Amino acid sequence: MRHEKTSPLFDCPIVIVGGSGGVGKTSISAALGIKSAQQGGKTLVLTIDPARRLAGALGLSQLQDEPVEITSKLRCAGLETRGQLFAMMLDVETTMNRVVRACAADPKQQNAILQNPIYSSIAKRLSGSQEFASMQRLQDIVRAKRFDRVILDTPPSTHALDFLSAPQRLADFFDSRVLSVFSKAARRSNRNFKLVRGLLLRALDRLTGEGVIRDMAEFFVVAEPLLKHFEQQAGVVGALLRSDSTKFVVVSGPSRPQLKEALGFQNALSTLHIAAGAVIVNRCLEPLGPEQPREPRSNENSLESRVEHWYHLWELKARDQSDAVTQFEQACEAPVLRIPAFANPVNSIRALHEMAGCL
Amino acid sequence: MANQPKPMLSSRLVLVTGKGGVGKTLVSAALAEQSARRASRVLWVEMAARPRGGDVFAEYLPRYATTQLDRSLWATHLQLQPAIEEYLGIIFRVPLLARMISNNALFQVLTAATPGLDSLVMLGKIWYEFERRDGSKPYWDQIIVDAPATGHGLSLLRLPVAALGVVSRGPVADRAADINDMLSDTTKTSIVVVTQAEALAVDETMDLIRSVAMETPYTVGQIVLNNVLTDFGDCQGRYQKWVDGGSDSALRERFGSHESAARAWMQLRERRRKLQDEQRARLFAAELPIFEIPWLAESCEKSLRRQMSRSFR
Repeated sequence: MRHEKTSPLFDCPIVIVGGSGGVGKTSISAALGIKSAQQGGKTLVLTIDPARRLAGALGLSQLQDEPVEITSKLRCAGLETRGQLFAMMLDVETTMNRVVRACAADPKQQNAILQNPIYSSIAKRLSGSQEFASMQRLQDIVRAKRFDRVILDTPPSTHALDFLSAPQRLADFFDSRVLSVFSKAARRSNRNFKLVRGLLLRALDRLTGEGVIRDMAEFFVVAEPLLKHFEQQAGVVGALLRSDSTKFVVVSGPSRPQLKEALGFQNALSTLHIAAGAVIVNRCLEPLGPEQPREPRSNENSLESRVEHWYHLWELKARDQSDAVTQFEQACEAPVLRIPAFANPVNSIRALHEMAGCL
Repeated sequence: MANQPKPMLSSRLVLVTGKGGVGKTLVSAALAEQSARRASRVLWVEMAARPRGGDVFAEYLPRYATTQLDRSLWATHLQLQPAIEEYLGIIFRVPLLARMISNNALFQVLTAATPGLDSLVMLGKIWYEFERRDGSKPYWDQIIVDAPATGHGLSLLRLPVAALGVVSRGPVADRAADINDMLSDTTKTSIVVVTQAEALAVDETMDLIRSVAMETPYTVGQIVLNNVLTDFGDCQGRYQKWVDGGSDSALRERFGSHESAARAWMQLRERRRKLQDEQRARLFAAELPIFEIPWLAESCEKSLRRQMSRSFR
């Protein structure tokens, strides 16, 4: 079914931009931010991006872990702006450390957690910690009510579906029942249990080596308040994603496998009762010719033949892509927006503004 | 700079990395296919959590167990848990015990929390396959790895040295040293970065090459530039005349009602080519061989792979 395409993206204070790696999530987020700021109010684009792409796109040499106002950049680029635009690149470790400081009972416990090598490994690279940090930060920012609209660009390599399950994965990881082996009670438990535990630890020892198990046992004992926080957070994030103030925007490429993936994500969202604001199909090739071009005549190597050959391939590809997007529009319940493949790179304010014009 | 595919197919292990979305999986699969044309056993290794092998090879369902794709081509999807299970099986010599341990929930939590263990086990599996023998010669003629994208790829490469800094003795240290030897030796391993001639991708590529050189003992050996628009040649200025809006009987006769569409296409193409050349020039600063793959019109990933593999000949 087809929906009216009345800008469904800006009726919500929280917009989460998801999609698989390399489809242009960060550019789309920035373009949405520019458009939102032009319409008025205070908008923040929140990104988590090791390659610092948004920073480049917005002409900033570096984004701090705090919101930075970039409204003047828009004005410098000649864009009329009624509102204000802020950008922020969050740092996973800083955010995690902040959580530790908030959760720890006293400075002693705080230091014990922060200095544990297992903690820094978890904070930096455990699967789900980037996603956790961005949701945590989003929530803090929403709670502080400094902005009228927040646009969250999800971690670069994250598959859209993994983003949704990340808080739960982290909570599962810290499942207190599993970790109770390290608690004091476990040390007094029966012989069979000790036997199994001994075997597991020996296996782990063969895999890792000196010290790791000791650090780990210590970490899981000192980090108990953190575990509670992660468990709680999984529930809070779910509620935030489902609330009326949040909309999900899915970004996809125009190829058939990419569209198939976007449709799967779309269905997963509705199963989870999360509202999909729109699907944005980025870098769509548009057919240029009046109708299907005829087969190139011969394979002679003249200039005309070479041009004809490539024009034919391009036109067929564009037609195929365009058909694929049309089929997708019919199958997808959310409104679908097409963004053409721009000849110029989308890495300046002006180019982002041009992109925003298609939203 | 001429197309130089040589360095990347001359070593027995090829690690293919690059920014997400530039065609890493396709390029590595095409390399594997080309390699299998002249070898008797080639292994294509996928490392992504969500494998795409099924899109790239017909009738292939990615899994850990080595699967034969073609006469001399095999594939595997590297995953942490089965790799740990396999490794424990080698250590304890009792497969059932290994399975019991690796399926244990506590054990899984512990392995996930151990810094770098996932990367070490995955690299360990690659090393194991690399060292595998069939009589007097190596079991695999070549192993092509679709490695993680830039950020994760870099942390993978940092690992062996980091592990050696933490543990100095024991099985982990031994394995890290073995992996380090394999990756440091450019006759054994070549690291290939796939990119496109587009500003953001080139930024990431240059950063990656610099970081690998500065933060690891290894070096990137090759750049693969994907989706290159080739030069048509001008034929005494006729092409440029068409781009600029001029026409002649040959063009009218050839394109008929498609003439203005063809011109719009030529203009778009030349605009892109100009930008492409600017970005490509930035890659020269890396002083690495660059292999260019022309833009292919194909939409089906399986035929793309086939076409691309021919360009490696």
